[in-house]
Formats: sequence, C-alpha cells, structure tokens
Amino acid sequence: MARRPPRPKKTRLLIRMKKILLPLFLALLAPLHAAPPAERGPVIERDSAGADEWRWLFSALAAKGATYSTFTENRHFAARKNPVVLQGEMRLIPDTGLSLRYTEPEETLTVIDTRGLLLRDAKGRARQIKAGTRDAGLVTALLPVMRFDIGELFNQFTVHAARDAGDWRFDFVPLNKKLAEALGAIVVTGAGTDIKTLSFNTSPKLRVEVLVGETKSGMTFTEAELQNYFRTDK
Amino acid sequence: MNFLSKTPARLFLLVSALAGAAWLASLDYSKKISTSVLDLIPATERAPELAVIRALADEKQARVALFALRVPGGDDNRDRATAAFIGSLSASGAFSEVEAAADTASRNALARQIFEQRFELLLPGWLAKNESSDPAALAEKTAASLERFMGKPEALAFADLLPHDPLLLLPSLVEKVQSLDAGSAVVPGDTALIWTLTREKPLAEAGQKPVFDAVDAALEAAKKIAPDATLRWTAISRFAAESKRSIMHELIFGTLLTLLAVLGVAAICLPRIAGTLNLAPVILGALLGACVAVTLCFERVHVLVFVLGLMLAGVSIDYGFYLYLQPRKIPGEPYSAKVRRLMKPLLGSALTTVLGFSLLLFSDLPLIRQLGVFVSTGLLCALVTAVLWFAQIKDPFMQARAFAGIQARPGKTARRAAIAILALGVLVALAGPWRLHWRDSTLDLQPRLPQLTRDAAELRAFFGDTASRTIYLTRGENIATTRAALEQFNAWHEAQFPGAATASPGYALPLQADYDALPARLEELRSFPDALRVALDRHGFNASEFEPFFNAWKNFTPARSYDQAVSALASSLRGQVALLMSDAPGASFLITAADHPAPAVEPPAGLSTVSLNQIESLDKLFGRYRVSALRLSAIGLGLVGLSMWLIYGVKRGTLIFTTPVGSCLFAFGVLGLCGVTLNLFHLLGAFLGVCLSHNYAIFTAENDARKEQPPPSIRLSALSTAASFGVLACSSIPVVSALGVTVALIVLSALVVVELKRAAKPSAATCN
Repeated sequence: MARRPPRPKKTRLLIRMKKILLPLFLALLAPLHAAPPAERGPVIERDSAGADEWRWLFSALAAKGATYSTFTENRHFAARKNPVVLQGEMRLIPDTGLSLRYTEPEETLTVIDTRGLLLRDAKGRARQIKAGTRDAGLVTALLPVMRFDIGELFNQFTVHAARDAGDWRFDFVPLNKKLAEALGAIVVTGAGTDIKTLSFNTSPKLRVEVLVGETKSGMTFTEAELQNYFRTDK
Repeated sequence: MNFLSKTPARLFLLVSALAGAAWLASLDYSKKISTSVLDLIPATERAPELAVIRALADEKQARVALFALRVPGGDDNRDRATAAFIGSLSASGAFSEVEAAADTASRNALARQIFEQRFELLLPGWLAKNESSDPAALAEKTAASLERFMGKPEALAFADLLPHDPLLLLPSLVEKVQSLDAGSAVVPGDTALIWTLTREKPLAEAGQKPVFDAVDAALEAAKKIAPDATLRWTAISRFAAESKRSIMHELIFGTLLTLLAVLGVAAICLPRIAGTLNLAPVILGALLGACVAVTLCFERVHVLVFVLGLMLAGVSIDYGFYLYLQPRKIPGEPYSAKVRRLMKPLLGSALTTVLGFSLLLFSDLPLIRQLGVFVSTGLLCALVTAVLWFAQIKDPFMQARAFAGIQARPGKTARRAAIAILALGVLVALAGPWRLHWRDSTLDLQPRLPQLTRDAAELRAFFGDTASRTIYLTRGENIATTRAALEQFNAWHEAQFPGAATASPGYALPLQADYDALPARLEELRSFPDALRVALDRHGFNASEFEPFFNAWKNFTPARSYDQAVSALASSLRGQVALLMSDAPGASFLITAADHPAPAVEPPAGLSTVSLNQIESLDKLFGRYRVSALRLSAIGLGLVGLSMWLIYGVKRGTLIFTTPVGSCLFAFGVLGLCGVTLNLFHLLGAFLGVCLSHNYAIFTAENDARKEQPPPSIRLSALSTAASFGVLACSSIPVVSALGVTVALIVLSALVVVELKRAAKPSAATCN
C-alpha cells in the first residue's frame, strides 16, 4: 500500500490537540444526553476526511486497553413474549480476547478469541468451535468490534457512524455477505468514551441487546482471572 | 553311485540349479509376493481389531488423502490457488471426492438430513428417556427445558430452529457431537486444507501412480497462481509406494552388501581370492534352495521373508568354511573320508538348526512359518551344496591365513582375565534380562519413513486427529447391533473416563428397541401437542410460533423399517462424515471420538469396540503371537538341547548347550541394560542365534575332544554370520533390524565365550 505523504507541522499539532481535546469534550458532554442517535449514520470510508473525524473516538476506545464491565443481555426471541434476560461480567484484553461470564440465569462462560469460541458450563465442561466456522462466525465477529482496532474494522465491516452531541452510534455491517445476512449489523452505541449498548441479530428470529454497566478500563487481570476467564493454553 | 565324486556331484548341482532357476523364472511375482501387512497375519485370525482392519482396507477409509496447501500472500491469493488445486484434482479422474476442509457443505447436508428425519431418528430416544411421563407432564417438562435452553449461549445458534424443534432434539445432538468438530491443532492462516478420496485402492498400482501424477499437476496449477505455493500431503498410497520402494532397495543393496560382507570376511582370512570364490556357490545354493522351497510351499510369500532371508548368506557359508578349511587328518586324506569324519558335527549343527526352525512351521503367523521353511531348507541346501561343490573341485582344502587361527598365549594372567570377563558376562546375563520390556506393533513391520510419518501426524492433527483424542471403532453384524454395542461402550467409557466428552454419528441413530416402540408411544401421546401449547404459553412463549413443529408432529407416521430409516441417513452422507459410519450388513461400524489421549485400557472384547491406536499397532494381537512364538522357541530349544544330549551325552551335551544359551542370555542382558524395547523379532533372532551359535560350541568341543587346535573356520563362520546379520541390523525396517542386532550380538558373544572358555581352562596350555 502506498504511504501517505507526511502532514504539515501545523496540521500535526492540530491533530494532536484534537486527539487530547475531543475525548475530553465527548466525556464532558456525555451526561447531558441520555439517548444515542436512533438512526444509522452515513458510511465512513477508511482514510477519508469523514473517517478522520471519528478516528479520535476509535483511538480513545481502543486505548482503554483491558477492560472489565458488568452487562445485561436481553435476548428477543420471536418465540417468546418477553426477552430472556441474562446477566454477567465482560472482560476484554485486546490482544487475548473477549470473555463473557454469564452469572444469571446460570453460570456459563463464553470466550471469543482468534482461535474461535470456547463455551464452558458451570461443571467445567468445555466445547470449542473453531474460528472460520459458521457458528463461530456469528460471535467471533464481535471481537474486532470490541477491540476498536481501526484497521481490522475497516477490513471486515462497512462502518456507519452517527453522533448526537456526546452520544454516538456505530453500525458495523460485515463485508462477508453470508455473515451480513445472518448478523445484519452490529450496532454499538455509547456516550463519551464509554460503550453503552451492543446489539445484533443472530437470525430473523432473535435480536440480542447487550446493555453495558459499570466499566473499569486499564485493568490488569490476575493470573487466576486469566486462567478462569480466558483461554491461556496454546 | 558315489555322489562325492566329481561327475555325479557336478551333474547333480547343475540339474538342481537349472530346475530351481526354471521354477523361479516361471513365477508370477505380482501374485506370489505380497507387501501388505495384512498378509503377515493368518487369514483365519478372528481378533476384532483385525476384522476391522480387513474391512477398512477395502473401504473408503483407506482411500483418504489429506492435503495442506500453503499459499503465502493473502487470503485472496490462497483461495484462488486452492480453487485451482481442487479443480485440477477433481478433473484428473484419480479422485472421486475433493473438498476444501473449510467447506461445510457435507456437514450442512448431514445436518439437513438429520433435521428432515428428526422424528424417525431422534424422537425414539427422547421418548424412551421420558417413558414414564404422561402427556401433560411431558409437555410441562419440555416447555421448562426450552425456557432454560434459551438462556444458554448455544441458543443464539438455534433461534431459527426452535419453532421446528421445541423438544430440542437437534440442539441436544449437536451438543453431544460438537467435539468431533474441534481439532486442537492450529492451522496457519496461509494454509488451506483439502480432503480427498482417491478413486482406486491405495495398495493397487492404479491407486498410486495416477494419484501422484494428479497431485503434481494440481500443484502446478496452484503455482501458476501462487508460485510460492508449497504442498504437504498424506495418503496410504504414499506410504505403500515408499515402503515398497524402500524394501526393494533393501533387497537389492542388502543382497549385494551381505555378499560383499561375507565374502569380504572370507577374503581377509583366506590367502587366495579364487579360493574365496569357492564359497560363493554354497551361499547361492542356499538362497536358491530357500527361494524355491518357500515359493513352492506357500501360495503367497511376504517380501519380508526375502529381506530377512539375506541372513542365509552369512549362515550358509559356515558349511563351506567347515569343509574347506578343515585340515586333512593325514596327508592325502581323500575328500570322502574327510566328509565322513566331519559328518557328525556337520549334521549335528545343521540338523539342530533345521529342527529348531522346523518348529516355526507350527507358528500362527504366516511370516514365521515362511521364514521357518526358508531358513530350514536354505541350510539343508547349503550343506548339500557345500558337500557336493567341494567334491567336484580339484583341491577341496585351503589353509586360512595364520592370524585367523592365532591363539592367546596361555598363562595365569590370561586365565584370570578370561574368568573375570566370563563372570562379568554372567552378571549381565543374570541381571539384564529383568529390565527387558516387550512391545509389538505392525508399524515396526514396515520401513521407517520419518518424513512421511511426521507429515502425516501433522496433517491429521490439522484435520482434528490429535494425540489428545482417542478414536474408537464399534462394529457389528448390522447397524442395529452396532448401535446397541455403542450404547454399551458409552456406559463403559463413562465409567472409565467420567466426564470425558465423546462424539459419534451413532448418537443420531436410535436403538432398535426404541424405534420399534415409537408407534405405540406416539399413540399414548396423542394429547401431547395440545398440552404442549398450554405449557408453552404458561412459560412465556408465543405458542403460535411453534406451528411448524405441531404440523410436523401431526403429519409424522413411522412407516419405514429401522434399517430403511438408518439407510436414508447413511446414503446421504458425503465427504469426511461418510467415513464415520457404515450400515453395510456384515461390516457395520460407528466411529466415536473421545476427548482424552489413547489410554492403556482397551474396551472389553464384549463391547465390539477397539481403539484406533490398537488398530494401527495391533500390539495386543502381536503380543499374543509373541507368546505363541516364545512357546515354540522354548520347545525348539528343548529339542535342540535333547539332541545335544543324544549326540554327545548328558555332560558334554550340557556343556555345549551352555554356550549358545549363555550367549543368548547375555545378549538379552545387554539389550535390557540399554533399555531397548524388544519385540517378536528379537525373540526369533534369539532363537536363530542360539541355533547358529551351537555350531561353534559343537566344533570347538569336537576339536577339544581330539586335543586339536580349534579350526579357524569357527571364527570365520562367526564373523561372516555376524557380518550378514550386521547388514540386517542396519535395515530401515525395525523388525529386520531387531533380528539382525539380536543374532549378531548372540553370535559374537558365543564366539567370545568359546574363546574365553578355552583361555579359562587350566588345560588350555596342553592344547598348544
């Protein structure tokens, strides 16, 4: 790929200032607005001027490093009158993977990493689904989204973005047609530099909505946490 | 007619050689010679694992070829090169099925078929599990289970299916068989895996060369798109072809090397090359006679017999040495008188060996029987050829070079040293054998092909066959009995390996009893759909969403027989999954993958299940043959010992007998102390070594009795035997190497024992 010519010094300074100020600005605005944009925003292209506007947010989200959050997952099955509600803890280590520990209604663990999917029940029985298979594809698509790795995101998705003051919304539509048909779009909303919700379809009969609760970023997980909640064997 | 005169002896040799050569020339070697491991095992053997191998050898499983195509330079490049590779293989005509491992078409087809047949295949088992529930209770239980399931991670993948399957028939099956899917080896991102099935059987010529050509062409096609593409692949045909090539290489070069080694020993110890060449006919006569006899006696002969038979070169030359190098008793002693004088030790040594090897004719293993005939007749032919050959040459005596007959200077120091070395040897012979380990494997019967073996292991791991997993094979006369056996095996497995996941296509099949009970059970559950609607509503479901299920339930009638229902599933299988089961009458089987490494404990015979590990090595079966060979060897040794007593009396016979037996124990002691794991062929080698080393003890005893210097022929004979077995010891075929090492060790030990015993005797001085 051709290298982009270096930016003038003045532009670089401006960019650096925006890099510092924009997240701060977004964080300050966040409490003022409770609702993210209701509609999908326009497509943003990699390296376009429009993308530059969002790059700061991507960088701020990616820079959070390892994070821990509580979450509530609402599964809207067509066959059920009310959503099935699950609760749990989410751990993300960008280089390692995403771990979802469900505590309600029953204890289970889902680990999503580059090797695929690992499901472990309360009795410790584990099942693995290799990356690249259809079953794994639905869920492993979440990993680049949670990492907010710009390069990976633009390689795998068409990215839509919308903002309303401090609230924002991204719609990630998989470039893979089969995955796009199955998933629709992964919608991530947030305020400031915090992710508030994630939602996606796994089929026309099910929409999953994850409400992210209390979040701690810049975490250092203990050895025991790594063992318990991630796949540490090679 | 005196056969020990020139003309009759020459005529007899010539006619015999011509007749033998004519017989060998008339053979159809492609039919007569076998390279298949299965031909090493009796046709009547009923061991379950062997029955499985015989069945699989003719089945699809043997025709699988696995490929890993590495294409650096991005996913697009990899996918295009892989498509070209697959296209070329498919078009070649050498392959009947070709599919990319990432292509889930065959698995999706299987899932679709099971979905279509879910009431036939999965409902019987579900109903049997819930036998005691009335319709209302069953409906309540079903709705509650469904509600629980929707809170599980797996529910995300089944959202579309649930309206068709609120009984969770398919999700339950998928949960059980999922471990079949997850190979633990990580496949590099630039590598595409391709699974194929060759059109022809891998051991046939048509299943080898055309396949290899097609693979070469396919790689070229891939390289046109990605010049850096590299390929690794594995198939039984590759092993078979390489194994055949390696064995032929060993036969040709082994024969030349053995002849060179044996005649080389003779050439070093004899003063004239022309004289040395007089020993060659003895070897050729032995080999010709052995080949004729073994091909006459057996319809098919395994090629290993000929590789092992190379040892005859070193063994048969002994008779040449004993006759040729034995000095005349008196000047001008006629040849016939010399032969009569030497006949007792010659017959004693030949017949004891022949007697021992004749016992191998009672072995269960065809290879050992063939080897018994080969060695016995080879030795007899060597003796007859030697006696006749030297009868028709002008000067049937040659003096060995002086150093060949050199003796140690007698003295106290030499005697003490000899006793000390003998004592050390006794110590090794007594202590070492306790450290021996035994293990047999059919894998040792084939040449070592390290690169192919490494590639095969890595590729199989890519395709999910890793060491952390054990594959079991359950078989039965028909698919119903096989499925019943699988149920029993599962119970055994759960008790042996609690919590270890297992997966089998058999889980998609009902037990015949459950299937037969289905119509009556459905009749009992007439009100179940209505009860389920109510229960679903009570548990917060929109019951109307489940109309697809209720319609299917209403329209379902179990009209087909059990066999027809299973056959509908089996015939829909394609690609890799088709290898996991067979419903063929008389050869039905089901594969089960278990999530644990190969265990030491095999399933009991009653479960009709064996592990692939056992199938690959047949170590249990060969262990049984080893015990049988041990029994025969023990009887053989007993007879040899008895014949020594009969010929030489109890005291002398026992003394003679101690040399080979002691050498054998010493050899086992050395192998034990070195930590070598022994097999059936070490045992056979030991038996052969004992029989051969008798000769040195007999001839030494004869000379001692006559108060004569031991003839150099003993040393020459031992050294040439050790040389020929030394060549075998270098073989790439583990069992051939095992036999070579054992015999060479015993023969050399026996020679050293004979020399040390002489040096240790107080009367040794009087012999010099």
